Amino acid sequence: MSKTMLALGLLVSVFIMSGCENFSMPNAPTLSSGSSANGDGQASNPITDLKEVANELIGPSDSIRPSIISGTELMTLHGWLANMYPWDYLPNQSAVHPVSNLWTPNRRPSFMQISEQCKQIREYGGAAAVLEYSPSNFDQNYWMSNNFAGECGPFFLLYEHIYGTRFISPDGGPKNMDIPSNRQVFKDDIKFMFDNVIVPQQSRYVTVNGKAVIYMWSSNQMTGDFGSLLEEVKNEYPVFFLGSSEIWSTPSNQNDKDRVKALDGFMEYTIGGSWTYLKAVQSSRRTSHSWRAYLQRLELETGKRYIFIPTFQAAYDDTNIQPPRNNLPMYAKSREEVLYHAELIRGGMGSAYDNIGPFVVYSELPEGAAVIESQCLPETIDKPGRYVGCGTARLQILKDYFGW
Amino acid sequence: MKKISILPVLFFALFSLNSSIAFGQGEINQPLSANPIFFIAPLAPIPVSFCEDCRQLTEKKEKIKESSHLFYVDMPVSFQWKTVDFGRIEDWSIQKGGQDSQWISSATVYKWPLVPRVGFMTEDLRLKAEGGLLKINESELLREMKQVDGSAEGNIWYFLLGGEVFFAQERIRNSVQGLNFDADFKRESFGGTGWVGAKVGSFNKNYITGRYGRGYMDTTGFFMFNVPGVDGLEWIDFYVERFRTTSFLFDGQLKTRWIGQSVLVKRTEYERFFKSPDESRYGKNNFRDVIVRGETEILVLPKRDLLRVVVVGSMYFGDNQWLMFKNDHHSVAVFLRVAFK
Repeated sequence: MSKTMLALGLLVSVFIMSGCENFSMPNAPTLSSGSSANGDGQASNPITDLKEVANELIGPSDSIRPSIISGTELMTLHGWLANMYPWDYLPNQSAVHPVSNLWTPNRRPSFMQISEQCKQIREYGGAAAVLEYSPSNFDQNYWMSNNFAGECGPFFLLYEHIYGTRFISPDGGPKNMDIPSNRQVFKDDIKFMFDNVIVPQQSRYVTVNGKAVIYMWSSNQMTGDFGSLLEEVKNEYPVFFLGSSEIWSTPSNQNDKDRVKALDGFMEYTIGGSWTYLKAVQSSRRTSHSWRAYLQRLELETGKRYIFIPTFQAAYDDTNIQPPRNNLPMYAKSREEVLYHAELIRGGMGSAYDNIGPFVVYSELPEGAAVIESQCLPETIDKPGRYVGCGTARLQILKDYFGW
Repeated sequence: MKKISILPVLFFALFSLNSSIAFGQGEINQPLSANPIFFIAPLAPIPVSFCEDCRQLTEKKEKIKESSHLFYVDMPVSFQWKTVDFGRIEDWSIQKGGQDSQWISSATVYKWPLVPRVGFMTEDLRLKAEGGLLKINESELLREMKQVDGSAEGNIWYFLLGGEVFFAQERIRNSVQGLNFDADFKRESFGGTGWVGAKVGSFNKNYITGRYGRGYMDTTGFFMFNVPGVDGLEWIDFYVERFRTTSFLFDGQLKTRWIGQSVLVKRTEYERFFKSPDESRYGKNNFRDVIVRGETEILVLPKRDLLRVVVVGSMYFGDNQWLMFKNDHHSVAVFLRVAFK
């Protein structure tokens, strides 16, 4: 009896202390040679020790894994979803140049700057933050030191370049999820996020019916039998997967179909297209309608209700990125075209889209879509036939249309 | 519903009674019917050589046979139409069909209703078409409508075969209020039904039919924002709804020189082509319409068969799903008919 009491006491302590900012994180599974979250070379940590003791006393940590996350339900969020970045602001590679109180050149945003960014997001109608995140110590420690953008309120993770390709491999291409080691890496990544972000931050973490939302960029790069892997992981953890880059074509082969079926919702990162801004927003809206029709048939087949969140994009310009990507920049010709984009989204919420969002890139600077308050420089001011929307012009549109 | 189902029976009883006692060919001055049931038996043929008048009789008979064709043109003179309630367009829920909130509304034709009907019929063949342009004024909004309906059917012996098709387009300017811009709404619908059945009588006189039909109906809704100073705006589709239909239809007609009365009872079952997994989100999977329509044709000038007035009365039951595809005349519609034999 006393042994059980001791175990429970330790368990409570673990939960209380796990939200602590000074909690030193284990190595990321994608960076470590092993798949365990408790990597080698980790300095002794009292909380980890407590967890281990608890596990020894009452079983492995899986048995104490919560089956429901007591977070903030996605459907209750009213406002746009702000995608925030932990990267350096490199002025020579950026098309959007944030004002100095929000970001310092050649650095990641400081704690104060993240707080200021969150204040701005909330001021302009943002409802939650979508934190760009790669399951690694690098991002984990950064976001922990910024209290996972605590001033922003609810948040969820954007699993950046799933399978962690951005930081451990030069290969950012599709991954074959038939390969056992790839499957294990994915599972380890989810475990890492679940144990180190979702559970410790669960009161602020965005959920759907108690399942933690994980947004994947981009799910269609996971080829092979990814569908069964998603189902396996969902059986193990209360997680809700939002996929991306999926709506542009109806899946044709069985693996693609199974992957789409196994996802729980869809949210695009961009509006796509390399045409004019006007054509891109119209094409995106039309494609969204077709995708909803596809989801309707899929819902009948699977019995699931798929979520579909719209995407707002102010512009696209990656012409400063080195080495050059050779993409054409895409700007609206006038402010009216951006307003029109917002009208198209708003009109589709409740029919093509769910009444959530839209998703907005707040601070990815190199691709020019960021809506963060920016400096009005000679190269970023509006010109005839090219609307940039420096300052807070982009944010104001979001506030007008989606700042409920 | 009991009242509806008894109507064809009553009609048939009345029809049978009247046809047997009142509507002889000579009396109503109508072309001879090919069908023996409503036909006073013709005289036995007399060899031409026995009688000088026989040739005249034969010529008269041929003349009568020639005039068994009937062609008419109906021009509407009533100004009320039934439409989908504007609120269902404004709140983007028209695609859910006749459920939940207000669905039907009446609207007044803005100008002369240029939706004529034409018909051509013989004893065993009937062709009908209706269509044209219409401008409806509703809540200070102008609804512009173009629609065409056509049907063709014919019988061999008692076996009836036919079909109908329609195309409809409606556009409402500035119907959807955006935050900064208004949008026009447009819907385009088409469909068709093929049917088999039985017929007794002549289409151009007295008859009764029963039909079973299967069909397909499709409607797409579009919107286009009006953004000043922006070129290249396109219509964006926001719903596509497709249905299989099954129809049961009974109609019949009694006609004298002075007055004609027809009754149609049509029941249509709609089944969504791609089933809705959640009816509250996507609309119901199954709808049902029942329409009872009576049409009274009255000769206006006693000595002129040419000009007639047609009064059409309609009763609608069920979901009124047909409004998802096109608008229709009001419960009472009046036409001026010009008929040629």
